[in-house]
Amino acid sequence: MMLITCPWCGPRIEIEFHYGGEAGVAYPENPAELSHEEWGRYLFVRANPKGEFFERWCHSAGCRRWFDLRRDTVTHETGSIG
Amino acid sequence: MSQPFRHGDGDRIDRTRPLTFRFGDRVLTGFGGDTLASALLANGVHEVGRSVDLGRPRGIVAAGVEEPSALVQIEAPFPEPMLTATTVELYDGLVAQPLAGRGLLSSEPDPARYDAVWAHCEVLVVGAGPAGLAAATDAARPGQRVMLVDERPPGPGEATPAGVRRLSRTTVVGYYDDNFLVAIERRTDHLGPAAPPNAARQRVWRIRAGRVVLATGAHERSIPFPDNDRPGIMLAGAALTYLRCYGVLVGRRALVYTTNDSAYPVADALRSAGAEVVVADTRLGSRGVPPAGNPPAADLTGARITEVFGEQRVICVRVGDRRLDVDVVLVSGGFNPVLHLYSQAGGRLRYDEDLGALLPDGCRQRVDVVGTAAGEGLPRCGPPPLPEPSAADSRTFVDLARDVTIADVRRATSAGLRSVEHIKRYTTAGTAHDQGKTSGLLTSAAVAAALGSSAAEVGVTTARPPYVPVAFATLAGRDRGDLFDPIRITPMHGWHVAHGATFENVGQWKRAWYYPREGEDMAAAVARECRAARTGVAMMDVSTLGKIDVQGPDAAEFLDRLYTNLMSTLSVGTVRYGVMCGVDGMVLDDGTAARLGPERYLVTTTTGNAALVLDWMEEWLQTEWPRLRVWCTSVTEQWATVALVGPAARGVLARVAPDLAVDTASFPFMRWRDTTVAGLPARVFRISFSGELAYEINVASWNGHALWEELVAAGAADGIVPYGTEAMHVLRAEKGYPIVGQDTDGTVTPDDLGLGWAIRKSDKDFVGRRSLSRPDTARPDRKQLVGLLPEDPARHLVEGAHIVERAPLGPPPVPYLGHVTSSYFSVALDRTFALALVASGRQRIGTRLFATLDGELIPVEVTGPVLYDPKGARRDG
Amino acid sequence: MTADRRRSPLGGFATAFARLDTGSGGRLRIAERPYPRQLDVRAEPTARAAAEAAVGMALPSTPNRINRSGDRTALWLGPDEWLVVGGGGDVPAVPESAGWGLVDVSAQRTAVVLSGTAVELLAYGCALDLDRMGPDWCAQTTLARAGVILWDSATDEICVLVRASFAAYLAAWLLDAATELIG
Repeated sequence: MMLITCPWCGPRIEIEFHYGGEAGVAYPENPAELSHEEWGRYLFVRANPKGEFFERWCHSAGCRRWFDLRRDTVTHETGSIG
Repeated sequence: MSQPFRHGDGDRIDRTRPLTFRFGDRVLTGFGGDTLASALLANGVHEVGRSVDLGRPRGIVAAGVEEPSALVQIEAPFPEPMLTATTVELYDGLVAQPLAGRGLLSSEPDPARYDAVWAHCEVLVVGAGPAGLAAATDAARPGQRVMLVDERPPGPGEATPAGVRRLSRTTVVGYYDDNFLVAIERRTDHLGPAAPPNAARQRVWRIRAGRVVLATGAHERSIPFPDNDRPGIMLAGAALTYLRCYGVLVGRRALVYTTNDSAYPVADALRSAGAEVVVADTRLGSRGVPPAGNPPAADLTGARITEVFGEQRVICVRVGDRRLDVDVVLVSGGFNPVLHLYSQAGGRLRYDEDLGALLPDGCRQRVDVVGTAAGEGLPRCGPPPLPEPSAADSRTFVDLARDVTIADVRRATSAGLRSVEHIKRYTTAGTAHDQGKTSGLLTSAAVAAALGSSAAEVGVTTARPPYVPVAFATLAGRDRGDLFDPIRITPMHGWHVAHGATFENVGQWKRAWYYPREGEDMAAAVARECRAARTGVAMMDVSTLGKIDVQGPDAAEFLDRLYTNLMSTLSVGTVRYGVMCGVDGMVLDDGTAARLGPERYLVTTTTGNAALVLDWMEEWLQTEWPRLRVWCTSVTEQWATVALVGPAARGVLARVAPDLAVDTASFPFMRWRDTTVAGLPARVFRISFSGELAYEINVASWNGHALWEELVAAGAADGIVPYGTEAMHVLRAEKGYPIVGQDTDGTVTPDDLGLGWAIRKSDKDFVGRRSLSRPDTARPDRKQLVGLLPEDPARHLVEGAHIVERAPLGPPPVPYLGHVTSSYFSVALDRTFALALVASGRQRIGTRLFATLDGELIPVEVTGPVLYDPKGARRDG
Repeated sequence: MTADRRRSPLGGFATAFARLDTGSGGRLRIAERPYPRQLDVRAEPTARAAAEAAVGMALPSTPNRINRSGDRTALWLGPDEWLVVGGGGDVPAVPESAGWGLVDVSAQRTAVVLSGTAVELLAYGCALDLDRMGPDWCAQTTLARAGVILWDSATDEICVLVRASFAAYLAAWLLDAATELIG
């Protein structure tokens, strides 16, 4: 069970957190102006690397804050970003 | 003579404490401190069962958790299958049975208590041998929590170092991310009937450690030779353990068969205890030179066992050209450092040619390996020697627990398998209770020989948790019965129980399902409850609905972005139904939004989605719209809510809310009012989920029970009826109101549900809007919510039933049009009806389709989803 | 004013809690402290002082710490969120565009006070390292399978705030966890 460091509450066990997928996928500024393909890419296409990955997590059982986390998808080593 | 093979005082047994036990049909004795295995051996019993596939007699091979074959079933005090005799501590009255490979699960619930605790330490030492004790002593200092965990019972005179918390009879079974380890403590078994009834039999320790020291020792390996599975053939080190720790001489005429120097002291010790011992060393010449000191020399060098005589017990072996009469063969094929936990932690292993063993080679986690587990003190040893290929290969075992032979391994490589992981799955070698602790490298050596490779190149299979078998009851712990999952209840729950309600689970909530009266079945009770709501007055506990307080200067803008319809245009005092979509345009949840003030709303969610919707709101606020000044707070349990429903509801409310003008003009549909109900501060909403005149009365949850009782009393004159979720479902379905999660499944858009009217006309974006014009979501043949009326008004469709176009079905593939999502009997319509998602459903209204039911095709008429009061004439009473 | 007809979520557990007190020889006590006033306070950094003035006490800036003031305690719940527990009087009104907000959540949770061997009891279902919390701590976490707010309410005492619907489950769970502590 991973120990994830919440930027506010410090290290807490994995089950206190909610996974939010790849980080940095912003909601498009003007969705209506996007082609079907561009919108489809926003909706459905995400990176799935073996190794280092930047992800969003929410400390849902704690302070309810969302934050970005660097995680190695092979070793589960985690670290904060920046 | 009792216990004829006892010899001297083992340092773990207490000869003043005799114990009686049963094994099969024999009544035997042992001593306190014995394991079942040591007590059996003391009585001269080697054979304990039969193998799983071949049914061959099997005996005791080892003296600890690595035991591959001595499986027993414990019958009393509680049946427990597949325990190794070498790890069962003897107690007075123990009843065990030999096993033929498989145990029998008890059909009775386990009466024992199991629990789990969390623990934290700066240093965790696994293994309390010399290296572990030294590491714990070293680590102990003020302010540093050191835990020392060992699988054995505490040994006599073993002192726990000061400042160290020691757990005995505790096996670390898993090593997970971030130095999280799970251990199982066996707390009461050794006490037998003396165990305190309130004590947990086993405990799961969830340990988070700053640093881990593995002092887990090594397991001796066997050697493959024909019929190497006969009872009486055991590991040399185990024989020494039985002699020294348990005062048991495992045999009187022993052949010690070894590939390395470690077995010589064993031979010496057995000789000193009076046994005749012949030592056969597989090595030739200088490598066969025994260790320094005054050891006995090898009697035979370069010798191989080629034949074993005796089935239930070894009686004779052929070594080279000699035949030896023996009662035990003690083998040592070298040692495997115990690195299962290290591997689980992500540690790498390297093959050491000198030791013929895998050693730790670095790990990303904070873990050190010390002592024998790191290879310290292990004898020089080559890889396990294999016999020349022969017909006897099908009796030459690499894995006793799974009956896997050299011939099986060769069959796997002949089939083209190369990876040891694939061969494991093909042959099942290493997949038994022992995970191949004594045999793993034998399998690898056999694979290497078959492929013309080396054990170093072939490697071993990945060790996975648990290190030893763990009972499901232990893992379940206290999460059984009512504590299996939280049971969430409303403030009125006690009333529902006292009044005979039947409950249904909605997520973790217990909700009153219906309230049967004397002699009523479910259908009768639900029909009565529906009739009351449509013709008189009925009341329901709807406290479980999710409630979120949304406030801040941008609250209106925020809700506009999340709901498909506009919430900013609501005036204070009014309520609006709203639908939320995911970014994919599919319905996420629905509910109402009430404007409490210019900068404050109260929104409701479905019972099951309360947490999800709050998370959803926070996600958008924090990650996409941080400039919006909005705060969301769950108030689900701040409020208890009662729905008061039916044409007579207004009269009942007027009686308990004297300050509230209840007439339609003063208090129209979709409005809310703050007032006093039954003397309690209350907020009343005029909303309806049944199509009838209805109010939802909210009070602080601690007043919920009082409100409920007051409404029961105030409605008595009108024959008020409490109703449950089943009647609620019928009433809403008659009106075509969908339930998110029942009539939707994450692939349904608002328009599919006929909620196109709830999508705003303005251009302003909302989450999911762009998806509604994607080619797939705009397809005309999407599944749409419709009503279904079976042609036989008594036929009840099954929820989930498939909808097809024609009967008979015709040749496959049969086009599948959709499925039934809700199905009930309607008192108001005096017939059955259903809701369904059907491809191009709205175009099919008025046509005939078929619903499947146990192979039958039921003809149905497709209708609009609103079957009762389509004009909405009833909502004002 | 009509009579107090409130029912607390754990009113039915009083006997069981008393039995534990006796059975454990006073080593472990569980008690409900019903109807605690609880205000959920949200504030932007610039409006913090106004929020503090409204609730009448300073709000802690350090995560997972509490401030005490008379009969009230302010718990840090998030970088812009606090829970003020205790006290009484009218719920402060929030002016428009104030930059802070407030919700009365007094009935949302009930308070369960554990005293004696509270840390040992919580270790059955709480993953926090409770021996290393430092002074004046609070934490939102899970206990068994319920979300809770824990805080250091007094010497040798830990207060558990649990949502009303989970309270009976948690009380049953705590009593069961204490099985080995009572003879």
